[in-house]
Amino acid sequence: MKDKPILAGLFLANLISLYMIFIWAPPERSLGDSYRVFFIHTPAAWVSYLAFAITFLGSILYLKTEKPMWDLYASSASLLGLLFCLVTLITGSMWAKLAWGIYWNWDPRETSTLILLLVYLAYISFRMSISDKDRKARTSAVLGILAFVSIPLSYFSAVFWATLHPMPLFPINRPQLGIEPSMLLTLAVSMIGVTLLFSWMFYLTLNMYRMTEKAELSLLEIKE
Amino acid sequence: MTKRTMPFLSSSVTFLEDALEILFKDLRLELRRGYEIYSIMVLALLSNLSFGFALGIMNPNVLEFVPAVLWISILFIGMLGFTTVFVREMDKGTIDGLRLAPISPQAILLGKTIYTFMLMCVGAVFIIPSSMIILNYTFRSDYLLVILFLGLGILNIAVVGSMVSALAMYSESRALIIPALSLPLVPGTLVPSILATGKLATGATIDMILSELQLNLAFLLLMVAAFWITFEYVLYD
Repeated sequence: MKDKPILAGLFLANLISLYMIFIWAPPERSLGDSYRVFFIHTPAAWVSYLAFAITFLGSILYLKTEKPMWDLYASSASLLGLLFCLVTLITGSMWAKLAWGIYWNWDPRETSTLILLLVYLAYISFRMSISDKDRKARTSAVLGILAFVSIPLSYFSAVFWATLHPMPLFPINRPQLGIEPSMLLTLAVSMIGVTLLFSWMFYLTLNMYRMTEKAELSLLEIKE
Repeated sequence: MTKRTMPFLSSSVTFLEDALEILFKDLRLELRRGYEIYSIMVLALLSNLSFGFALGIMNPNVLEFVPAVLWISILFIGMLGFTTVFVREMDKGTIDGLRLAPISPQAILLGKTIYTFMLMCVGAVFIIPSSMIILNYTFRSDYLLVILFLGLGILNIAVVGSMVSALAMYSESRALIIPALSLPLVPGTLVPSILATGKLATGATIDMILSELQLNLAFLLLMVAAFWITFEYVLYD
């Protein structure tokens, strides 16, 4: 099987990442071990943004070329983006409970990520509510572009409004939180591991949709 | 799919005339029926009464709730209007007439957006003064600033609503999809509008609401640009 080396690499990267997160990285001075959740929270957030960016690009390319492949990319990425966005929210809430005493405190960053999740939930429910394939692809592509507009809002809400959330790395206009090199390395490895995991899941989702489409076509042929 | 690039061919005057033609067509229809404006008036009063009962008429902390109450009422009134923008054209089969008309899609969108904006303004004219009486508060800032800021927020919601209505006309569950699409798309303007309205009620000047104003303007620019580019893909089959 040609996928075996890729799968082995993916497994190894995530194994190393897990070792670094739970064993190698030292406990943080004030937060103790609870901060380790960031090594999952941050990569999940990055991957969800990446997935939504793929949805955005897929949507633009579909409108430009009208090739069904781009619609497939957009819809598959949105599904995975939703999943990783949910992981971001859950891990963020877990840490909020430990650090601030409550799971949900209406922090602007937290709220805008929830809105992001709702936008893509609406995108998927919109897709499900249209049966005509071409119409679905075309109108969803438009919605995929509009939905992406809400991402800068989510990102910069931490800059515009008072927030408890740590500042984003860009734009660097305020003092950043101090981070030890070993923690930064763990974060980098975890980022790579989760990105590889996303790539694999994306490949599987694309294949799943392609097979579903083939099965539907075969079913139609049998009926005719 | 027929693609048109009329704005580049027609002069801006013709473009505006086309948009106004669409607006007047919708207004004529609205005035002939009248029940939507009547429903908006009733909903405006009912929402204020409901919030008044919920919050307590003499609540000393009313200013903490008023901005959210106001914008939620405006948003729900907008949603009443969104269904009439494009969905009604689809239901009555008049959408084909719009598609065949020698008008650019952007002019159609502009006409429909102005119509939605006007419908929402009618709602706001009922909501804001009645809420000031029922919830017992007043705006301490300059009234011109209050009107301009509220107008900008309403325009943002109208822009999103028109596009959502255009997308929803293809959906098989239109009644559900309009709120499902518009609610997650509007917080970008709703949150700064609520924050700034709270400040305007306590006498803020333009400097104090500058960041909210910037966010609302950025939202308007982003949305208008996105809709302008993509609308023809929505309108034409």
